[in-house]
Amino acid sequence: MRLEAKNLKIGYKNPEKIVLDNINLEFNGADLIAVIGVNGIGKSTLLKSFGGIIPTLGGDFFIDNKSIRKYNQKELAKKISIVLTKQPQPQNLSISDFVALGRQPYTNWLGINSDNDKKKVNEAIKQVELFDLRNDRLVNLSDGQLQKALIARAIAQDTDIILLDEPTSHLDLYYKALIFKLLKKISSNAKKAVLFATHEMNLSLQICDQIILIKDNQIIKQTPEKLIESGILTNLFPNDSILFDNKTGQFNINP
Amino acid sequence: MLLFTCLFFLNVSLGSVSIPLTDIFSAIFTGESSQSTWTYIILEYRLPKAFTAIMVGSGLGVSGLLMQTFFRNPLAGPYVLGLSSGAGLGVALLIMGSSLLGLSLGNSVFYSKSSVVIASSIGSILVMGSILITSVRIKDTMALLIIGLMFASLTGAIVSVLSYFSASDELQRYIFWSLGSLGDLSWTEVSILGSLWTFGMLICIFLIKPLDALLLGESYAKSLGVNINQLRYLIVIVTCILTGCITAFAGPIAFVGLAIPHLSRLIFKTNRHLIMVPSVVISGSVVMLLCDSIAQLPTSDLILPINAVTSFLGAPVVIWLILKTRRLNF
Repeated sequence: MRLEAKNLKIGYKNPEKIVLDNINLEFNGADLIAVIGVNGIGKSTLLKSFGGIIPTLGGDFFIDNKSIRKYNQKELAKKISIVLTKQPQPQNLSISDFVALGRQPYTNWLGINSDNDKKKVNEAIKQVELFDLRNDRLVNLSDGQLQKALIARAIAQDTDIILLDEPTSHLDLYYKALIFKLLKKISSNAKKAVLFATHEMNLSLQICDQIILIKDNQIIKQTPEKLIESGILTNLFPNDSILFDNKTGQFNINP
Repeated sequence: MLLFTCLFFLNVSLGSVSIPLTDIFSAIFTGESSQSTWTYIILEYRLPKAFTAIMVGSGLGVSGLLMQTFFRNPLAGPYVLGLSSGAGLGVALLIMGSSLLGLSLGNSVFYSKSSVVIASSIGSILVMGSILITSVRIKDTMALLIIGLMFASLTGAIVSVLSYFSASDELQRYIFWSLGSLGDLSWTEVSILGSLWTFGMLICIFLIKPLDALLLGESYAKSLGVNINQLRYLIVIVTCILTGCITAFAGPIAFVGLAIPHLSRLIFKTNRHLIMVPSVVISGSVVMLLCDSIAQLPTSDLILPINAVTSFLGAPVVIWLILKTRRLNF
């Protein structure tokens, strides 16, 4: 699978607001990729544009060498799945039923799951280690378990690409690390490109294959090592409160 | 289902004239019973009424379910789009407005049943049209909800002004209409209602799958391959057809549309529309048949207004259910 953005312009219409312009990016294969940058710089907008949730304003975005404009909604649903930061209200649904919604692009007009669909749903639930809770309803889950269920739904959608918007916000440090490891496992075992926006820079630098850094309306894609070498992270934030340590490759509090 | 069948026969068997059960069965299945007036009462009055009750209960319940999923709001119901108020305005203009405007063109024509149906249809269609136009311009469902409520208060205000200036007999007629009635429908009217009901329900069956996706919100639904705009129109159209025709024929029946989906969710403990739609249809019919049977006030000649019965019975039940479960698992 291959993704390519060519001179892509993203943002919102009515009123028109261009968030990022001239985006040129290319991905190949199953990598875990973090999108980092300060608040409000356009991480979510980038992911939503890639996912076809909001229309692009100019340029083009190719999935497997075919422009996103040429995909209809259903074809796109078989290529890209998303996990959004604004979580759905806790629903009166069991985890199984919820994850099964991920099979919608494949089911018949009435949305009845075949045996194959059920198998995929169970696999997805096992992968996020919620199998014992599969009949519990979403209302009863903790934030961390809910996030895992959301990821399982995206896995069940069986797409080459999974986009996640801040999958670890509201989670404690343990669950943050757990979700990161889970995403890594999905990308390497299931051969999916997993692209996620995050503020967890320290964790991202440790575990991701690639980092997309958005800074001053510029987009840089690099491996974590090269990004650290380039020194660009040193100036990412104002220096009064946080410092980047080039040796450890981590951000630290400026005492 | 069993409860449904029992209530259907119970409903048919109750009325101001008491008819033995055996005669009821023979009237329904063979068209004959020991007295011809009984056959007439059953076939021409009670059966149409029972069918109307079923369609009203299930139709309003399904409309409420669609609205609640669409607006992602447990308070939504067929009323929130202002449809019933639109119908009410139509009827109010017909009954109270015509004389105010100096139109005394043969009162009998104006007050006939069919003209009331036409007036309330026009009222709902006008509101439906405005809502469709608004929903093209405004993509935010919450804004649409508020606009629907504004329509309701606007039409309510006009009705208040009309009733303030109208004569007491006209006011009474309007109030009788607004109290709702399941009876008085001929087989022709029942079949018109029935075909519109069937049409709305058929579309609804095709909406079951995208409605499930919509439970997750519009962005997720989109990412699952749902055509959101098409879905919005279909939901609004189905609700308008079901609520519009029911209100036209039976008056603005309160409460059922809001409460039935909650009742079904509490019973079946799920949000999946594949289960919810049939269960809402059945529980809506059951509740309506039950309410209508109670409205007959067994063993008496009195008939209570159906609107009072639905709210009088329904509201305490829903309050009790919420207190018991401490939350509505919407």
